[in-house]
Amino acid sequence: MDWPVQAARITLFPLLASGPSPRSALDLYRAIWGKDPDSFQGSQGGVGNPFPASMAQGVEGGIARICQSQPIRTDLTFGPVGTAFGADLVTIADTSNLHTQMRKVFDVVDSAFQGTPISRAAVYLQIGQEAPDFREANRRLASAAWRGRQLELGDEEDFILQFNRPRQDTSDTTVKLNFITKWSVERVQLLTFLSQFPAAAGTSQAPLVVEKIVPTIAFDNSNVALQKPFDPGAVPRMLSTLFNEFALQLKACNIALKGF
Amino acid sequence: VSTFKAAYILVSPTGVSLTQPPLSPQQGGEALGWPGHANSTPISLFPATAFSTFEFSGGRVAPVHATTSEPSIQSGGYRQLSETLDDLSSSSDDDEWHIDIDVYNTSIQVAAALCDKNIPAPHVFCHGPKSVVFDWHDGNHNLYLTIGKCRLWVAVSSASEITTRLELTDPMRNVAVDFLQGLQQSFVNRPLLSYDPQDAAA
Repeated sequence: MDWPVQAARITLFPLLASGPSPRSALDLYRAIWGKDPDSFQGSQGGVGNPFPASMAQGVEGGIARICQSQPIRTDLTFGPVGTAFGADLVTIADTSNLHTQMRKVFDVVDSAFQGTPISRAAVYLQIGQEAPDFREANRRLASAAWRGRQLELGDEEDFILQFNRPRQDTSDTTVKLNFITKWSVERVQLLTFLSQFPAAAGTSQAPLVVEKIVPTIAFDNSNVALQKPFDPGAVPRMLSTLFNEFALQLKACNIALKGF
Repeated sequence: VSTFKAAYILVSPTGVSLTQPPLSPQQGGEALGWPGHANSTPISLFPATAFSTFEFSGGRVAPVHATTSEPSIQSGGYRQLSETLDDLSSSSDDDEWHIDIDVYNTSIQVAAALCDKNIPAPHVFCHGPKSVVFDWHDGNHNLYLTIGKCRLWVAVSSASEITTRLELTDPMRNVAVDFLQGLQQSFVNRPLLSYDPQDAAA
């Protein structure tokens, strides 16, 4: 069964009150991807977020890349490129390319975050697919249960199952790693704005709203925040450790994802 | 999960009377061993002139007279707190409210972390360019979180005494995140600042 990628993310958390805050999203985007973003937005705080934040975004190889810098976290998000028409759920088709792009970030993360003390790293991967109804959505999730364990689901709605399989880091046994897997059936609302079509007199400009039923599996791997910053070179190693676990988690769910 | 107060027990020498001169922000936070008491435990001092003198009595540190008459800026929420910190940072260098840009950046980071944990927004005041103080008050106690360029200190006081004070940002053991986790728990599970270190020690 095909499980395309909906989104992926790399997140770094600075150690509180221990050094410079993360750089702006513009600087980070340039440092990580070696080019200017397609767009950049900075704010001293806005609706929903009272603190300074910045965001830079661009597209590479059919994958949208978004760098979001906030005082307590920096997110590097990979997502599908939206389409101008239609109300289909867009996904990342080229998962090998996604894998490569995420891996490349690990190599430059130390230099990009120059001077910012990092105490926690995280990687996230979300896969999902449209289903015609809840019964079918549940059936698809059941087929991806952990190591074939039985999930008896019928037409229940809004199913959620999550667990964590933590373990100590093999390189430093004082560091605890969390490996979270979450199965859920999401209701996704897609809004389509038809602004490119001049409105005929008397016609509505309201967006089209389409609700999708999307069985989703998310993998959220991170280390428990350290009480001192990572040593130089340790952040890429930690990210690799967390990232490599995706392969095991996918296998446990009986899912093959090209590149992973 | 223990509350933040239970996680940090202040061990202080007992039976000592000591008058401590006011600390400048630059001096603040230095770990000091108390003279004449070889077995005493170094204590991180509250790095401010908020309490001008201290007197040890029965293992407690009591403010002889507080100088918190410095006006407090009421901050009704995190948006207002953020704007206040921005104003403090962007004021001119010779303004009495001015804070250094590094202090501003750290204070914004701490404020964002507090907000992230749904901890009620604190009041804020400052007393020099080198630090900012976040302050919560529950009617009986004050919790002060003093923020320097790269350091954090916490102090808990009642009207008559300081019951807890310590630094959260030892370079090898930064417990700021644990502290915020505990602080969040304390807001959820019990009245703020009702902690007695003696109870926790027991």
